[in-house]
Amino acid sequence: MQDFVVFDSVCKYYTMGEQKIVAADHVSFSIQKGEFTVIVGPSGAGKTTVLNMLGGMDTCDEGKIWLDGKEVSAYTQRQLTEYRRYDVGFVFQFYNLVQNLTALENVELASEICKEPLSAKETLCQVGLEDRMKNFPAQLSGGEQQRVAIARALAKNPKILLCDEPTGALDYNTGKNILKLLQDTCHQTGRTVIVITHNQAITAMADRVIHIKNGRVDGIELNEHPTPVERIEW
Amino acid sequence: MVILKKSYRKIIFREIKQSFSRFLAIFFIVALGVGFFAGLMATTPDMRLSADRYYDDTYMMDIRVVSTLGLTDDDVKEIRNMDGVSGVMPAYSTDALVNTEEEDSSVARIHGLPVGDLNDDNPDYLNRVTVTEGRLPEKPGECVLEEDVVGSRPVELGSTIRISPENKDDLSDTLADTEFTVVGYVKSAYYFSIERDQTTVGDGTIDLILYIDEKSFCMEAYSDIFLTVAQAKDENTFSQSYTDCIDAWKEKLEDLGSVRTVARYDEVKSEAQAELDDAQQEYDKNKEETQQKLQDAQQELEDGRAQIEQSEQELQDGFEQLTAGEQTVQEKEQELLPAQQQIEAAERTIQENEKELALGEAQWQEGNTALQQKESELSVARQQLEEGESALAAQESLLLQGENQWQQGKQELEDNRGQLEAFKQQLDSASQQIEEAKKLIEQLYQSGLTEQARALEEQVKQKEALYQENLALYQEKEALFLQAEQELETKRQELDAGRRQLEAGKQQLENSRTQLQEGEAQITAARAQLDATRAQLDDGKAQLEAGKETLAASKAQYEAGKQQLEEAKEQLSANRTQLEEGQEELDSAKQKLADGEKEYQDGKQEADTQLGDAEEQLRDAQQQIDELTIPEWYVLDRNTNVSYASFDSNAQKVEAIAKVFPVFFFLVAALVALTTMTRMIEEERTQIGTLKALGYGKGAIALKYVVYAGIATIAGSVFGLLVGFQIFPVVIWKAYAIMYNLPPLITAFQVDYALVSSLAAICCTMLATFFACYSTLMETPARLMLPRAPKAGKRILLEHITPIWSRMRFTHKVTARNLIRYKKRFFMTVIGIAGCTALLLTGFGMRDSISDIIDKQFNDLFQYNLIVGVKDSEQLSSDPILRSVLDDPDVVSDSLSVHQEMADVTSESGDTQSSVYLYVPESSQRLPDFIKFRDRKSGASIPFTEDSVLVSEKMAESLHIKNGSTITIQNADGVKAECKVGGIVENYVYAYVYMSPDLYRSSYHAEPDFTQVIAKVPDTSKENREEIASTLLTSDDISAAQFTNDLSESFSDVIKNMDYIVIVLIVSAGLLAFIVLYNLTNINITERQKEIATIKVLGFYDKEVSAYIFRETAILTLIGAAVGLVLGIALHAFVVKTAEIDMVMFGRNISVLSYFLSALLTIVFSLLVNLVMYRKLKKISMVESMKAGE
Repeated sequence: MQDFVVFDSVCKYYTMGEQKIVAADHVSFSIQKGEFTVIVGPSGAGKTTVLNMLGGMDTCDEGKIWLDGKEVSAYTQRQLTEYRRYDVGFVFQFYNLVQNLTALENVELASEICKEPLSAKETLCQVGLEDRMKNFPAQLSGGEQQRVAIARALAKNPKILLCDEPTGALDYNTGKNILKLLQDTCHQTGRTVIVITHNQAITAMADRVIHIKNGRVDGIELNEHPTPVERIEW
Repeated sequence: MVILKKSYRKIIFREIKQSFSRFLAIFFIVALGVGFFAGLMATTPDMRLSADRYYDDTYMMDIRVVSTLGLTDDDVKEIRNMDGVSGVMPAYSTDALVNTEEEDSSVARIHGLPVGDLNDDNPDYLNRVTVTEGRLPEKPGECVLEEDVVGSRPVELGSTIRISPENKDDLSDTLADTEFTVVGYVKSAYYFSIERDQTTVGDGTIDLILYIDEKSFCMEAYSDIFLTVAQAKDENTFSQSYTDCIDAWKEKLEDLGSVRTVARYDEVKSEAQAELDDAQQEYDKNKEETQQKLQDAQQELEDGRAQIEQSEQELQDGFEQLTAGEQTVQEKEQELLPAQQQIEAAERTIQENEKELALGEAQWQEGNTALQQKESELSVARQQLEEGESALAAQESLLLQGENQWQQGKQELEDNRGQLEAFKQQLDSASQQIEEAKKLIEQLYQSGLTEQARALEEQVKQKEALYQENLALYQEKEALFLQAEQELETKRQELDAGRRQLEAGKQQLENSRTQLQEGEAQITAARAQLDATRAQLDDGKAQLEAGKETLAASKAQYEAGKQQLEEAKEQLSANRTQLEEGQEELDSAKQKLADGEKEYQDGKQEADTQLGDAEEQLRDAQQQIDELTIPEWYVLDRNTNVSYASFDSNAQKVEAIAKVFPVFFFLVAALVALTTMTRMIEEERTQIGTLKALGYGKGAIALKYVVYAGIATIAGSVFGLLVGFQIFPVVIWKAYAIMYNLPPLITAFQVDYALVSSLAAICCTMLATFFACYSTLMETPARLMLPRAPKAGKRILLEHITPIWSRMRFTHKVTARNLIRYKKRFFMTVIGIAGCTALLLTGFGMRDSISDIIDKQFNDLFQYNLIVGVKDSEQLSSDPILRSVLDDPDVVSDSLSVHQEMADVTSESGDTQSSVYLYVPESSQRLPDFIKFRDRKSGASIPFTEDSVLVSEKMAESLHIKNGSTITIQNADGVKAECKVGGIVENYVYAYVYMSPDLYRSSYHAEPDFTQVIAKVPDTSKENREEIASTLLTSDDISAAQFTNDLSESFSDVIKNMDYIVIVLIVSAGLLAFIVLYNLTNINITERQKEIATIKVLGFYDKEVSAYIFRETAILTLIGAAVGLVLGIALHAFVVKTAEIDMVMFGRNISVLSYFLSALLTIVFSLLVNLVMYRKLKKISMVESMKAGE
């Protein structure tokens, strides 16, 4: 089986004044299609950098990134935009919903521009917000907002779902619910999901865990039997 | 005051660095607002200052004095003696037609220059000219020309300008020189405007301004006195204090004038009276002389007549004598007549005698001749006779000889006869023999003896031949013989004849002799007879001679008598001729006398007429002197200078525009600056919270923003002032340079405007900043430090209108909701954009308003295009030149006489306006053909009635006159009349009250004085206009002839300049619009950076992202533009009303094009801003935006 996501010795540097910061230092890993992957590491280890590069929000300075057999690292800006548009779904820590749109509209905002979007309403039902569709973000709780964000990402019917600290701004239970939603989505729809977190506890629920430390891959584990979210405690 | 800590200072400068575009936006908005405000405000003071400086530098006169009778050195002295006068320049000037080398009959104003006294330190050299090329005139016959505003020089240096011989007034007592060489070009403060003075010469417009040596003038009095007032020099000429100062001086001079004019009047009058008295004296003398001469002539004529009479008497006597003499001669002639007859008879006798005598003589001559002939005949006969005798003797002897010969011959013949007969016998025998022989032969033959016959025949033949021979011989001999016999016989006869002849000769001779003898006897007798006749003839001759002599004597006697008579006759005829000549002479003398008499009559008549004329002239002159009024001094200030007045009104216009427009402009700028700062503080609430949490005091925190705003505003103000004070006045000045030939503008740093504008700007922004800070600082740090609760999304009204909402595209829904959501931003943006659009519309609208006036006033309302002023209303119908133009339907299609005077109008509310034209047409019915009376708003025409007046709109507006109200009109003579207002009519230039002639008569109890004609000239080409104007101005009765086309052209020039100001306004408004839009869009983007990043992450293309943002901006722009147009209408109305100068009402309408252009420009600027912002949008980093949790 071909690797669905491949990072091949990817490097990323930031120049801050005269200082050159290495955000990613020859990061290499691969992820199989349909896997629930957790990238874990302490703050500032370069997790988000990796996610940004994978999500087409940033480019790498060295190495190659492959997704579904296509070299993302070779894309132009325009191709990257298309890549984000059709192939990637994002979930952010702070949800990044458009405040002026209702839950449904926020989902529609994404689905409108896709080729084969899922039904916005169905997706919202999926995430358990059938009653909150007409509400504005300000009228929703954080968990609900994050669900809207996930629905928005899912509605695009992306190849890969990227989540950057999705529970970071949520309370414990809500966080769990969200993680459960993500895991279920992965396992029920066979969608590849990558979650970034600094929470080691969460690694237990992943099919694949990638440890990142100081911009390097510190280790990759495969869980043959990931623990269901409900049983994870932190 | 909180002391700025080092780190705090850093924060401020870092803040500036980080949000440099915002800083710049504030900086530029403030700069533009302050610069525009201060610059435009400073323009008028700068313009006035520059003009004033120019006036001061060139010693421009403050006051000009002219008098109806000219001014004298005494006047000059009096003025000079006034306290506070710094310079006095008496001067000459005149208007004349001149011919240049390029063009004939240009209208020139000619000024005298005090050549020789043109030193810079001469305080009396006023209205100084500045040489721009060449040099000033140095002697009479040289001139310099005022250079054109555009600097064009129509006449070349070195060429000659001549006074045209076509001048209607004789200029010989004005100008001593008639040719001037152009030696230079000058410019002067007196004539710096493109608008030129009016004149009554040529076509009424001055083309050239000449300065010549004043010595070239030979006028008896000065035409002007220019003077400067020491006190006025320090004042700005456009200031009230200057006006007050000059007004006071004008009064003083007018007082002086009232004294001086009386003196001048006395002087002129006494001079004139003295002259007239001299003339009267001369006239009297001449009259006397003439009468004396006439008397002499009459005397002479009398003498002549007497002489002629005498001569006539003498002549008559002479004729009588002559007749007597002639009679005597006739008698004498009668007496002489018989003598003449006697002489004639005697003469006849003598003639007869003579004839007879001559006949006798002839006969005698004839006889004598005949006799002599006979005698000679006779002698010839005698000779013949003798010759005959001798011939006869010879004949006789010959005859004898012949007879002898005949005898001999006869003998011989006889002999011959015998011989012959012998021979004949022989022959006969022979012949017989032969015959016999022949008979034998015959017999032989018959017998047959042939042989013998033949032989015999032979023989016979011989014998016969012989015989024949002999026979011939014989016959010959016989013939000879017969011939001889014949000859003999002839001889015989001849001899006999000779004999007879001889006998006859003898006889004849004998007869002749006898005859001869008889002849001789006859001759002798005849001779005797002839001789006797001779003697008789001689006697007759002698007698005749004696008779002749006697006759001759008597004849001589007769001739002498006759001679005497002839002489007498001749004498008589000579006398007659003489007399006739005398008669002729007399006749001619008579004719002469008649001629002389006629001449005398004519001369007398002429002399009488001349004397009468002279007397009349003297009377007229006396009347003129008697009528001579005290002259008037016109004390004129700079306002009467065309250039000054034009410049002043334009400066006022600029001032009027600068009054309102920049204020509004400034307000827009301040508003935007203010908003920017407010937004900034709101953006930085977290930082404020942090600082507050850290323990910084409110003041310290607020100070940061106040300082930030302060730096931006102050820097912007300074920059704006520096640039604005230079750019705006200079640009507007440059625009006016098209009209005015003025030195470069003096741009002063107008401290008051600088302070007002920059302080206003600083206060605006700083106060706004402070209040924004204040409200933020009131919140607790905790709240501030929390990410600000995002503003809740809201359903908008539109969503409830399902048919529209459901049809809207998703992104449009977002836009619509966003627009409503951020109300503050919405209003701020809309107001900012609306402000710019309103400014643009006002700018364009100003242009419309001003250009409207000309077109509407002169082409739409005034249907006539020619105004002719006449000096006296009586000349209106009588002036031939005027009538020839007005009555020619090809030239003028219609004309109407009008009366026009200045009046003061007072309304019911008590407001008064002076300088209103009271306009009275000759015919009320026809006036609407020339002037359209209508309501401006509805366009409905307003009837011109007999019993009420029509008033112009602007005056009605400012005096609060309503239709139907009553106004009091005080006419030029001070008479007041109350009239009902029958309508308020559209009018743009000047103020008018239109009144019917009947109403005028009943109101003022006076007859309107129709001294103006308004006319319609269909052919409005410039050539035609000039031709008509110059034709009209050749008449002395016509004081002015002006085409409204010219008026409208000169107005158009002004409007072109207004255009520049408007362009300045438009460009500034555009710039403001750009900065405002940039700033607002910038704020919009900055505020929504996260949202933009989100949709970017979602995979929106760049275009979609920008559309997402700019759709909002576009809609805001459109709304703003629409609001701006509405706002613009109000602003325009306000500006127009404020900018209007006294006598002009600007158009109130804005053209569709202006609306369109204003909106379009706003949209174009918005697009430009979006284009710039597009780059900024592209640059927004998704990663960075995601990080910050708001």
